[in-house]
Amino acid sequence: MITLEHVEKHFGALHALKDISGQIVQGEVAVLCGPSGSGKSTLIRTINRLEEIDGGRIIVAGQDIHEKSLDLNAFRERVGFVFQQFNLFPHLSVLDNITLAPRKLRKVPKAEAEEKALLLLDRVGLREKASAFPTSLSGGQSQRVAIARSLAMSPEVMLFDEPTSALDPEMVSEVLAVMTELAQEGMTMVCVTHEMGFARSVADTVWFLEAGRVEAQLSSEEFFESGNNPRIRAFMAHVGRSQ
Amino acid sequence: MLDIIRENWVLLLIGNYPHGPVGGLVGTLLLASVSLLIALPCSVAMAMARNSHSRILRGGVTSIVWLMRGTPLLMVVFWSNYLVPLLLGWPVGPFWVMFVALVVYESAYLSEVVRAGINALPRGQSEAARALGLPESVTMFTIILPQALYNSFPALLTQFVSIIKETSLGFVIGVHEFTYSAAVINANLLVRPVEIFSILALTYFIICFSFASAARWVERRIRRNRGLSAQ
Repeated sequence: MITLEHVEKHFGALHALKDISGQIVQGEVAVLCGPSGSGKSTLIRTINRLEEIDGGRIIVAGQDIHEKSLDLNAFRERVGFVFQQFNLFPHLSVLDNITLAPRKLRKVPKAEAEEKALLLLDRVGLREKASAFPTSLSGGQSQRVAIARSLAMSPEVMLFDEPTSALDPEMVSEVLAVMTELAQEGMTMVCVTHEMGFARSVADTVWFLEAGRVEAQLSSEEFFESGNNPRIRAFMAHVGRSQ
Repeated sequence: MLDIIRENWVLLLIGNYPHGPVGGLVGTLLLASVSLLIALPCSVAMAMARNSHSRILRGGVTSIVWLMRGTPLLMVVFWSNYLVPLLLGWPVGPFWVMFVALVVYESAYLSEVVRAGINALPRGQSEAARALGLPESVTMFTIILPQALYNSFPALLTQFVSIIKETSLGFVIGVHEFTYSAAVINANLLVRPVEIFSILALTYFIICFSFASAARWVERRIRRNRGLSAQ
């Protein structure tokens, strides 16, 4: 589904991504973790080209996403992206946030788009907030709406960039619950997260990044039993402490 | 002072209308409103051009903005007084000459206001739109501009106050506006200039102060609305 081949990225003098290769198959849930500054957010942002790469190739659903002939917007319709800061459109109601892309891009009639949006809101447990504005939502609710907004385009892959890092602790679980359900339905997902409980129970594979390099790419079981890798051990100890 | 107003209120309010062009206070407000109405979309276009990928477009519009910001309005008024009829090939009345001068001059200033409003939005807004696959034009017109213009509404209102004051420069090319009316009355009465121009100043002040106060009130409201949003 997603193949990375020798991906390189520089920010000026900073070598942010170093020769990253790997594969995520259809229906797989991959968690990217690692200390801050390790390049995991940059990496996930390259997968829908919010961040351009300097070298290597990224292939999503059989398509090289840096090919000149690629219709970037059409490609992005097929890849959902959830941000740390939710990035809901504050001047639009929850319903309009969700229906905007289907109506503008797929020319779905208003009634039909709203019907689907309400079903999605049901899924994230927020139907009663359909006509609310983002400013009146809690962080957890905002993020669930943001997930619904991405799902409205029926994406083939969902990318999550630290979806719970901006949330108060008591709201983390409601967002993780939605993500877990999504994973169980077979959605291909890539998640940058520090939620190791989520990684342990939901992820198929865990990528451990450090200083712009993929240090380890393990199945979830292997990762959580890999007591012999000192870097992962140090990271886990640190994450464990902060939770 | 009151007797001057009592005897000349029609001239002060609408100029020589209907025997001549609309003038007086109504002429002033009309000129300011029409200028703002046209300058605003021009300024939005200029603000977008200054954020565009095309270096030529960006450079061209930036030059215009710097040129206007570095030139007294009176120069622009003279300029358009001679240039606009020349370019069009037919005579143009002073009202429209002043209109052109104000639109050109104010578009430059307003574009800075609009651009600031656009740049002040969190980057996540356009990123979220891009991530959804929305093309740039849709992003601009449904996501960015509605928020940017709403947020910069107080600044736009403040700029409208400037335009009202600037219309008085139309006097030098014979635009029938409020200052012109006062000058006509002064020419008739000859001996009471202080009172006449006090009436003029006071009226400008009341109008501009009201708009400025409205701008402050709106700004407080917008701040409050923004304060609610944790984003």
